[in-house]
Amino acid sequence: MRNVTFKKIEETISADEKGIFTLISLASAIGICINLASVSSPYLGIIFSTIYFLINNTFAGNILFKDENPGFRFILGFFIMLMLIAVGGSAIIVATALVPIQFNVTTTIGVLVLLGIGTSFLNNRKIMAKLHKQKK
Amino acid sequence: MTTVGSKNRSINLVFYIAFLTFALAATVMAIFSWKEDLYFNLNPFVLPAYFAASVIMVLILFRDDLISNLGRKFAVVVGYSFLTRIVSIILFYPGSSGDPWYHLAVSRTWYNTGMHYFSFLPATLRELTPEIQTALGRIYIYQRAAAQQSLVVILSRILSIDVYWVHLCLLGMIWSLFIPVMAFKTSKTLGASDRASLLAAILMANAPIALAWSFLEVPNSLGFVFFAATVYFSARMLTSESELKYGVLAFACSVVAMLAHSLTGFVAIAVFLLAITLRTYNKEKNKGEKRAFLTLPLGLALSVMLLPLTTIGLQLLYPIKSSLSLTKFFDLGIYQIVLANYSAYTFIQGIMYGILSLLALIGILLKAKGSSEKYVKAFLALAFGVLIAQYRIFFYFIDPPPFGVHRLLVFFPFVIAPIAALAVDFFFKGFSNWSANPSPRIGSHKLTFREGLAILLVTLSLSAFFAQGILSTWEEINKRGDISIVSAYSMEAAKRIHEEYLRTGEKYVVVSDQLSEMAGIALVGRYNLNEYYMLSIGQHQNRPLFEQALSEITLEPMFTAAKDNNATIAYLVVSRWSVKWYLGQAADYSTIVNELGRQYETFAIVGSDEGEVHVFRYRVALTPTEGIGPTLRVLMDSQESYINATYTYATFDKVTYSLNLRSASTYKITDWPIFWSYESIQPTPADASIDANTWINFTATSTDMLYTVSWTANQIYPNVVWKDDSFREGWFKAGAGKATYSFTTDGDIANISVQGAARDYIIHDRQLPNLSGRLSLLVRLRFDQNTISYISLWEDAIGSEQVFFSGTIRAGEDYRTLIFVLPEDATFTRIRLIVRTPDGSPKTEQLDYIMFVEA
Repeated sequence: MRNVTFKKIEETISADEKGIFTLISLASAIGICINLASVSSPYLGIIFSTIYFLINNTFAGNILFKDENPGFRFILGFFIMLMLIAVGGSAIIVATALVPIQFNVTTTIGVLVLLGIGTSFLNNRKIMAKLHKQKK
Repeated sequence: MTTVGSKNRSINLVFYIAFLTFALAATVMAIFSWKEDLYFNLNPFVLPAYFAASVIMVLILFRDDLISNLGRKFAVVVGYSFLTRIVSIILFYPGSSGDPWYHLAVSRTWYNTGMHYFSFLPATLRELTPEIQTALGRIYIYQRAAAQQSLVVILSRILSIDVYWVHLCLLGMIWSLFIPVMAFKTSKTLGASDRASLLAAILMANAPIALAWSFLEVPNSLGFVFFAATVYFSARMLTSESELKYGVLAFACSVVAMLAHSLTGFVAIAVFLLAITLRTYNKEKNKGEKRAFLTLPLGLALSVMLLPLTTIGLQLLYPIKSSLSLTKFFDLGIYQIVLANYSAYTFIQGIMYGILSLLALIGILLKAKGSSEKYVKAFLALAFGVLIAQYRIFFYFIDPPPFGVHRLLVFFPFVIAPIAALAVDFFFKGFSNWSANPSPRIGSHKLTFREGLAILLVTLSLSAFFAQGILSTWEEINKRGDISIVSAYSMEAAKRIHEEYLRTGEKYVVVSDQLSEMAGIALVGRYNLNEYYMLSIGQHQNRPLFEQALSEITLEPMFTAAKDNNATIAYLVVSRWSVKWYLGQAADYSTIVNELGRQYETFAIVGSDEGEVHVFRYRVALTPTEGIGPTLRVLMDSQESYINATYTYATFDKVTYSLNLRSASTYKITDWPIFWSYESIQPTPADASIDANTWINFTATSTDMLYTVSWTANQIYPNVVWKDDSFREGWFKAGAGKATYSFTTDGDIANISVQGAARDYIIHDRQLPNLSGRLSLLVRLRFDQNTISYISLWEDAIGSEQVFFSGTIRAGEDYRTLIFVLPEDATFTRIRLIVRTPDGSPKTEQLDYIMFVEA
């Protein structure tokens, strides 16, 4: 029963009807930004981050590991998200060696938003279908 | 059916509860083990509880009639993996000392400033880092450990949780969650059963050789996780139809492994190249192309040599000096050449670290099911071979290796655990005659004696393997003694200093023991120019300054340190353990702290026992204080004159008194305060006769010449009861020292030279008036490098008894003033100086003065 529930949630999120989960993911990134700028509450931080990761892990898992079972798909999606965050952050770190930018709150949120938009874009059914079509 | 179902649920529940109970017990016992002192403490119930949790976990893994659902079994495996990390992190809280803290400091700097710590490098240190002057060099420096720093900083920001906590928990969490997943999935590509795959998951996550790396928060550890992912995606690339997708993922993982640590990056790329080689070889072979037989050896050679060659090539970017050397190989003994790392292992270590490799070798020999499974097994076996070859090349030929060569052994479990699990599963099935994936129907299978024995053996041996593995890991980390764990008291001291800064906003610098240094930089970041902690690593000066402050009881290091960031406040943080650690067993914490208390203000005392931390504070005056000193009697051309001396000082322990003289041809100075020590006459007079205890006579080159006679004084110890500043009288050779020697003096400085055979020495004695009371001995001296010296004091009134011994005196080529607090209940009638040459070569000690002062 629990598996079915998790599977349903996972399917609902990855379906992303009308882009609702993309919007929620972006809203959670804005929530993280507001929390950082004003409240700095770990509770809010954990809630917003959990929402952000829940949605984007599902997207990433759905994009890359469609043939896995839902549990592994979600965990591997989480792994990919952490990997993308590490790559995004590292890119900023290396960029600071060459151009006058900083690895600060703005660039951090920038990375999160970009990743959120990127995963939801690739998760979009039409694009997925196109990708699969090209593959075939 | 309902009865069987409810029985199943009850058994399930009992085993869940049993596992959770033992896991919780191990965690709670670990929490009870922890004390706010300096040392690693292990409650005797931690390991039994951990062992019991291991037993339950292995039983669940091997008995499908206990918990049959694969997902739930996997959850237990992941839960056990978390348990290992959680218990270890608690036991070593606030964290094992060393590299993790320097990386935490870097993350803290990124978090606080958004910039690399090199951006804040003090001017005094810039010449030490020529590698950052070029763009390529900067990119190389900045990308090092970037994956860990970016993850820690970004997660810390989005969770609004302090960098310290994210840094402490991130690696353990990632390792516990993802390593079992990667191991399980890699095993599946081998066609392994669920049981073998689960076993691979637990073996990889808890391999003894990798355990320490699974909770020590260094970038290398994070790199291992991405290496494991590279192995999995490479294996999938070989077997899946989505070759390109898994190829890109494997390459991306090796890039992230590189962004975590170069070592893991290059090894991951080597394994990825191996997978590509195998794929190419297979394609060419299937097409019947002859070059297939060239592709494989070339690809293998490239995979093996990638790491050694990039290590040597790295010196184009970074100042390391690794090279291929045959000398290293010829210096090894035959046992080292043959057994390599095993030659240094104990019996237990040999079994613990070797068993996986042995099982893997057996696993390689087992017949694989299908062609794609064979293909993956060949890949893993070749990867194992590549890793062994890389290790042996570093062990035999790379000199000096840029990292501990043993790190290469940590890669092994990520490649061999799936094959080793196949072997365990094979033996288990062979012994018990049980099927690979037994029927999930509960109650339908009756346990035979052989099955029971097989389960008992495998449960006990695997549980013992995991428990011994974790215990050995803890013991290994704890081997460093006093400096194994960063002291909670040092962290509290750093916090108080930081709070004081937040109140006053005054720039400060800290000279401290190394644990306090780690605690400090973890809190304020590296090269924080407002809250600046001197560092001990590399060519940084914290250690020599700290040792100088303690051995000479001086403020001077605070001035040197304050120059780095123009601080107005200097802190000296001294932990009780550090006194013996830095100065030797003879050093006494209470005495040193009391003496430091004369010059420094006590800011805070934190903690107790060996972990006690005493925080001293000193306001650094950047411009020296000047003024008029006492009046001295001077005979100028036999005419009596009284002239005021002037003084100048930065610190009270080093006051310079000067007397300016002009318009006479001869000068005779007497009766200066006893605590002054004659230093010099500038410019050099035509003629001078000096007894620095009593008189200074000199003849001017012309009457117009202005002469400055100067003395130094330690104003903190003005009550001198006896001194020898000239060494003209009373010294005689004593004892049986056989060194060839000379003892000369110019009336101010005594030169004692020794040479002869190795460890030869010479002793000089001098009688003292009967000295007693609360006395300290001040000695100002300097040595040739490696000279060994001792001072002892004797009481000869009744018998001849040594009542004070200095221990080995550490000084340098610059003059230093040493302070020894003397025993109060003794009378001193004789002083003895011993000078030794350690290798027989000529050594010289120069003594400026010896003073006995009243405390």
